[in-house]
Formats: sequence, structure tokens, C-alpha cells
Amino acid sequence: MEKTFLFLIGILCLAHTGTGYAQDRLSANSPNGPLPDSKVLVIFVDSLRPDILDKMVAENRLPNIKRIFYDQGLRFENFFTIFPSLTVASYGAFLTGNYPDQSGLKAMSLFERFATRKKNIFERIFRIDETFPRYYDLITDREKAPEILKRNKAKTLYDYLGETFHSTVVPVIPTLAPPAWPHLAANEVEHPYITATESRKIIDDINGKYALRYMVPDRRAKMLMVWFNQLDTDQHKTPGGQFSPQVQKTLENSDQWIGRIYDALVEESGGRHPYVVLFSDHGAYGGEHGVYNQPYYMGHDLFYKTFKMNVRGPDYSITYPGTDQESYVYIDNMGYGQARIFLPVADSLSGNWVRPNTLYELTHYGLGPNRKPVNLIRELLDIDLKERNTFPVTIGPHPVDLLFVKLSDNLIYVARQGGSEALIQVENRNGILFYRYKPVKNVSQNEHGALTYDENPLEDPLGYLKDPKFRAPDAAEFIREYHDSNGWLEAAYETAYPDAVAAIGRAFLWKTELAPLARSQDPDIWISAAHGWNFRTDVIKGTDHGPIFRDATLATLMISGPNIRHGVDPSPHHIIEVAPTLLQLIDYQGKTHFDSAPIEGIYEMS
Amino acid sequence: MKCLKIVGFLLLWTLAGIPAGFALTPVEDSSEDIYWSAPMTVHDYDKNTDLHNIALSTVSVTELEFLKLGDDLINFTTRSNKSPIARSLDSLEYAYSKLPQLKSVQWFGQFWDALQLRQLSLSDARVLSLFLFTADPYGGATSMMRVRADKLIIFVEDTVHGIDNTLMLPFNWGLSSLRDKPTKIKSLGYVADGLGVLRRGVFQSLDYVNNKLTLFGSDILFGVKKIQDTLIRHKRKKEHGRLPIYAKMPLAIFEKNRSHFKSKKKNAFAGTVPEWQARLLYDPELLPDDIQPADFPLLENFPTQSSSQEVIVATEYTLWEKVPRELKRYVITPDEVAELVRP
Repeated sequence: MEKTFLFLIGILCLAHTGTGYAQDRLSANSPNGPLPDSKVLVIFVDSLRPDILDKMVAENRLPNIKRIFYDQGLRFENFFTIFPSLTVASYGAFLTGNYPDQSGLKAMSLFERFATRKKNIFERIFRIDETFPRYYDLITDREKAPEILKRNKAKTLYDYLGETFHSTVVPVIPTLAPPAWPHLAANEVEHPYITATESRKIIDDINGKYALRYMVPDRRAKMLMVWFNQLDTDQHKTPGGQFSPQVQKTLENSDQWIGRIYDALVEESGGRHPYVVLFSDHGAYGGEHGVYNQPYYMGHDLFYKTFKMNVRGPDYSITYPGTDQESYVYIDNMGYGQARIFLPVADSLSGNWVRPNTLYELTHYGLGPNRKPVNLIRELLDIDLKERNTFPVTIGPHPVDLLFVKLSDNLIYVARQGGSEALIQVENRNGILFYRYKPVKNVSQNEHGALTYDENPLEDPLGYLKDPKFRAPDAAEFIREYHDSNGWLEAAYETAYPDAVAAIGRAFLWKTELAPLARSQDPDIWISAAHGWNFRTDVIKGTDHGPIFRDATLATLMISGPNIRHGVDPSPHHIIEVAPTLLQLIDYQGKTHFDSAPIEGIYEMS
Repeated sequence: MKCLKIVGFLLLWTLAGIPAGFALTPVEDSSEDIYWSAPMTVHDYDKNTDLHNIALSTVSVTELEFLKLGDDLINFTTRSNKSPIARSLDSLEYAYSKLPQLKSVQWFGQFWDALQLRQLSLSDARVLSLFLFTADPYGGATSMMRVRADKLIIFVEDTVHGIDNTLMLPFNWGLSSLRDKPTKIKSLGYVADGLGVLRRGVFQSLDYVNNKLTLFGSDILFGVKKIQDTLIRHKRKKEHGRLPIYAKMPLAIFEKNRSHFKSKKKNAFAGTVPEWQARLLYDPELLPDDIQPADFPLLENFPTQSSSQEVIVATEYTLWEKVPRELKRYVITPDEVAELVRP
């Protein structure tokens, strides 16, 4: 018995020597590529602005981020997310490495005019009715976003990696929460009898502790994803947003967790350093110099009060007593800096939801039998709030910055207050999308769908023609041609609307397999807020995200780890480039379906 | 007992799905404000008294770790904040982590971690007791039990892999030297791999079922809330049923639907714009906000009117609620009535 026991112990001791051998043989260092058998720790700080990070690091307030990403590692100065700059959509792009037209995850709320798929067997057996139109808030209905991705056959990092992908609670997660997470939450809150509400207020601490206790010791995990969300939550309700010291304290707390998790991971790996990626899903706008975003409750002030329409949104509903409660306009204002507007066909009371409206219908939109039709495009662009503008010197009176309408499968109308207009034309050349941005004026459509316009070589809604930061020898000539996503990003990344042309295109388009969803899910009108304004429904002074302009789309990306070069990369990059880069870092060999290759030039000898 | 178990599971599954949430704030004088119209609901994740939150928090209490409870008790009785049990265990774990990182030390550490003894809580005790009493093979899985099972199987997999590595070490070393590149051939490792595949499959299926049941549990709570919503709606309609609703429609439409506006108890007033103006002249204080439909009997005829003539109808909400859906598009606001009938 004793001999058997000693034999077993001996075997076990030797057993792990074998593992050590295998690792030694694998860790051959090649400075122009990732270290073999590595782990990646991905730190996702929701909405983090890179300039705030730079400032706080310079003030020595983020010692751990400084030592991991500034004293070593590579920082990307021009890293952009998609439009709309919203958490679920952007994280979806990160997670799939696909633009929204490929994944079908296009916003934070899902509106469906009519059914686009057959009922599942359960619904058929039990004859469960589905009523349309219907809508979901993808934050509250957390199971929906993974469902959308699965249904649209968009593969995510967690699909590729299986159990080697281990995350805290994140915006898109296939299980509602990691198994031990609720237990940890119950023991972390101060008052367990109100865990439900209290745990949401300390989600960063719970995620941090979960990472330390369950992710770091996970030997199977190759990619660890930790989400810090409190910065975004706090900035939405603080006038200074990320510029305010109060909100910055949240980031200091995240920094402490990042340090602890990183050190624990190094210790757990026997001193071996993992790759660490710090990224944010989008930026944020407002808050600087005390200029917060002023709320414009468009659903109430314009559609309900002025147009007498019933209005619904992800978290609000306003209807007139006695009216048909099912006749309404749906305004998805999530993120507060953008709004997607869904309307019944031709008339607010038509009850007809078979397709989005044409431009003609939107410019002659009916408001029922007792009211005159309106030009919704003009009404939205011409909203003038000068009477209530708190910052008239720095902020303009118009809350709508840009307005987009899809005219056909490959043509999008762009308009700005003041009359400048453009058309974005998209061509699919052997699977690669090319975009042309055509400044025009006097766009109109007749009731038969015929489009007329005049070319406008002098002015465009994105301002590229006059912007000295537009990187083309001759902007007008560049604009006349079709360019792919990278071409447009290279040209426009220093302007006020970096990557806007491709981002607008991708927001409206659908890949061929998903094309039948367009009529059901495309918004009639999509608007992007102007600086200093948002589309909130409550009177809260805060900062936001969602629009297409620079502050909201410029996000954070930094990589650190073995063989990663030190410095700053000024070249523009896109959020869809992160997933392939991460898989390259852990030497994933399986088949992938990304829209982009890994970021080049991140290694020391590259 | 079975019933208790189901309730317990539902509550636990609800716990797994802590959602963020928004409550609807009604706009003054809207249908939501007056009649609690859908989608108004008592559901509000921000309130501690919300049913989902109560369920979730109730389960959370059973998730409290025994060690934490012990510490809390000591802290409370000694009026200190020292948490001696946790600190002692922290020190022990720290000391263990400082041992030379031999593989056998790591092996024991992994086994210890897999047991998750610090995480023992009332929820485990509850489920274990159910398991013992009912001998139901699915009775023992709380979220932490699932974690323990997962970690223990992984521990077994790693141990088998370790043994495999050791057994195959001379062979693999020789082969690697001959081929001049790392080569690894398994023996027992295939058993561990198979166990891993099985574990992933089983837990993936369990997670899927768990997700569905969580949502089902949540739907049950929503069902309870719907009953509450219906009661509120009923009460509000009773309270505000006499509020006037105005509509402007062509005379032909009105005539076609005239029968809907007749009722023994309730009534409506309908008249052309000149008729309304005449009544306003007669009693300018009366309209539009203070209209009492009972004061205005429904006319049997509209003499001298053409079919293209429009009429303004005023009814009580309870009567209007029952008119055909196509008539509801003719509703106008009190402001619009005032504008129309202003002489």
C-alpha cells in the first residue's frame, strides 16, 4: 500500500516535469511574431477616451496602465470604431471581427417590422404568437445579441476559442453570466438583501475580483476578457463626463484592478508575461470645459407635441389617449448621441409596416386624416433650439448634425442642416466593397422613385472638400473615385469625420445572405447628434456616445507583451482589426471569417 | 419537496441573469400617465422592491459564504472589522503560494482550488440536502456546484495528461531528437482529451438549458407583473373613464359608425364645426376641456349637411375605447379642438 502510494506520488511529480519540457521546447523566441503558447489579457474599458488616458498617465494617476502600456508596448493614436458608436454594436464588431453588415448587429436596440424567420419548433408546438412590429433593448434583453449573431451565422471570438476564451460579464455573452459570477456578486455587495440593485453599482469590482479569482487560475484559458463598465455609466450622468475628477476616479479604480490582474497572471504563469490589450469600444463626446450635452427629447418635443404622433423607444412610450396604441414612431436613441427612426409607411397612422419609407414618402409624410403632411427631413434638420441653448457661444442651435436615409441597396443619402447633401454609392467588386462619396444638392425623389439632384463641387456634409486635414492631394478628385474602406480611412482619419463614408455604408448595408432582413430592420431615418446635444429622454447633464464624429468614434487601443514594439503607431486602424490580431497573438490556427487581417507592424522586428 | 426544488432553481436561474434595466417614466397627460397603457409596467430593475430583484436578492442571501457569515458574526460581536477567518485563510494561501513552485505543489493547489471550499454557502447545503433526500441526479447543481464539477474534471484531465507526459517522456524525447523538432505522442492523454470533449459537451448543454430556464423563470415573474399591470389599468380606467376623447371625421364615416356611439349609460356629442361654435357662443366656458358628454345628446340627424362635411365627436374614454380601430386615427387633441372651434 505504502509502495503504491509512493509510486503514485512519484509519477505525479514526474508528470508535471513532462509538461515543463514541452513548454521549453515551444518557447522559441521570434522577435517578428508572437511568442508561442501565450495568453492574452484583454482589458475592455467601456467608452474610454485616449486623450483622457494620456492626460491621467502624464499626471501619474494610472501607475499600472503606465507601466504596462506606456513604459513598454504599442499605442495606437488613430483607432476607430464603427457607426453607431454604441457598446453592443461596437463590441459586436470587436468580437466578430466583422463590420455590422456582415454580423447584422447594428445598434443597441433591435426593431423588426415583420417576421424574417420561421417560428422555432417550440413556438410552433405551443402556438406562441409573435406580434409585429416588435423591439428589444439589447442591453436589458441580454440573450438577444448573442442570438442575433448566432442566427446571422456571425462567428465570435467565443465561438472560435471555446473554453479557451474566458470573460467576465461583458455586453455580449453566450451565457447570461459566467457560472461563479452571481455567487461572487452576492458575496461582494455590502447589503446582500439588495444584491440585485447593488451589484450593478459595483460591477467593475465584481468583474475585477472574478478575473482574479476565476480567470487568472484558469489554465485552459488563452484569452481573458475583463470589462470595466462603470466609467461609461458614470460619464452619462456627470456634466464633465470623463473630464471630471469624479469620473476619473472610476478609471483609477480600474487601473488598480488591471495591475492586480496582470501581476497575478504573471505570477500564475511562473513569471511569463502575457500579451495585454487595452481597448475601448468607442469614445465619448462632451464634457470639456464644462460644456455638457444638452438633452433634446425629440420623441416628445417634435414627434409627440408637434406632429401629434404616438412615440415609442427602448425605454419610453408616449401615446395620446384614445388613439390606436399600435400606431407609433419608434425612436431608438440608445447611447443618446444617435437616433434611428422607424415609421409606418407613408402615414403615421397607416399601420403599414411592410417596408421602410422612400425619400419621397419621408418628405411628404402623412400625419393622419386631420393634419397636413410634413417634410420630415427638413423638420429634423431645421430643429432650432437657440432659445434654450445654454452654451450659445460654443454650441450651435441645431441638435441634428447629420441625417442619413437609405435610398436603395447601394445608395445612401446624407444631409446636413444648412443644405449640404451627398450620396454614398457602394459597389461590390469581387467581395470587396468600394464607396463613392458624391457631394450634391437639391436631392428629391418623385412618388415613382425617380431621384433627381444637382452635383455640388463646392460643399459636402462631411466637410472633406474644405478640410485641410483630408489627406488627398486633390480632395475633389479623390472624392470622384470609388475607394475601399482602408482608402477612405487613410484619407479621412484626421478630419472631423474619420472613416465616416465606409462606416455609414456598413451601417446600412447587409451582406447577401442577410439582405432579406433589410426591409424589416432598416431605419427610415438615422440621425447623428451635433456637438453639445443628445437625444435623451430625461433632463440629465452628461456626456454620451453614438454619433459619427471624431470624439465618439476615436477609441483606445494599446498592446503590450513579449516582442511587441514600444512606441506610438500613428497610422489609422479599425476596431475589426483587433480580433484577428488577438488570434494571431495566441497562434490560433483554425479557419476564421474576419473582414480584416491582423494589424501589421506590431512586433519588434517587423 | 419537488415543488420547492423547482422554485429554488427558478430563483437561482434568475440570479444568473442580472439585467440592467430601465423603468418607463410617463409623460404628463399621456395615455401611459392616465391609463397606465402598455408598455407601462410595474417592472423596474432599479427598485429594490421589484419582484425580479426580490427573487434575485433572496437567492443571493443563500449564496452567502459560511466563512463570510462567520467573519461577519465575529466582527459584529467584537465590534471590529478584522474578518479573522478570511485573513487567516488569506495568510495560509499566501504562504502556500510562496512555497517553491514544484509541480506537485501546483497540483495540490489546483485540487484545493477545484474544491472551492471557501465558497461553501447555504445554497450548496440546500441543494445537497435535496440531493440526498430525493436522489435526483440533477438535484445537486447550483452555479458553484457546476464550477466545482468543472474544475474537478479539469483537475482529473490535467492529472491524466501529466501522467501521460511522464510515461511518454523518454519516447517523445527520443523522437524529438531524431526529428530535430518537438514531437509529442500521447497514450493516456487521449482518455483525458475524450473526457475534456465530454465535459465541454455536457456543460455546454447544461449552460444552454440553464439559460433557457433562467429566461423561463424570468417570464414567470413577468407573468405575475402582467397581472399587476392589468389590475392597475383596470383601476385607472375606472377612475378616468369619463375623460373626453375628441375626434374629427367625415360625416359619412360617422354615420356609418353611428351605432358605436349609442349606449344606455354613455353618450357622445357630435356636431359640425359651426354647431360647436354655436354652443361655444352659448356657453363659452363649456368647451373644450370641461366637456361633459352627458350634457350633449347625440343628434339623430345632421340636417343640411353634405357627406363631405366633417363632424367633431366628443365621447367618454370608456365608450371611445370600444369603437372600431379604424376610427381611432381621427382622434384630435383638446388643443386642436380649441383651435377648430375658436370663432
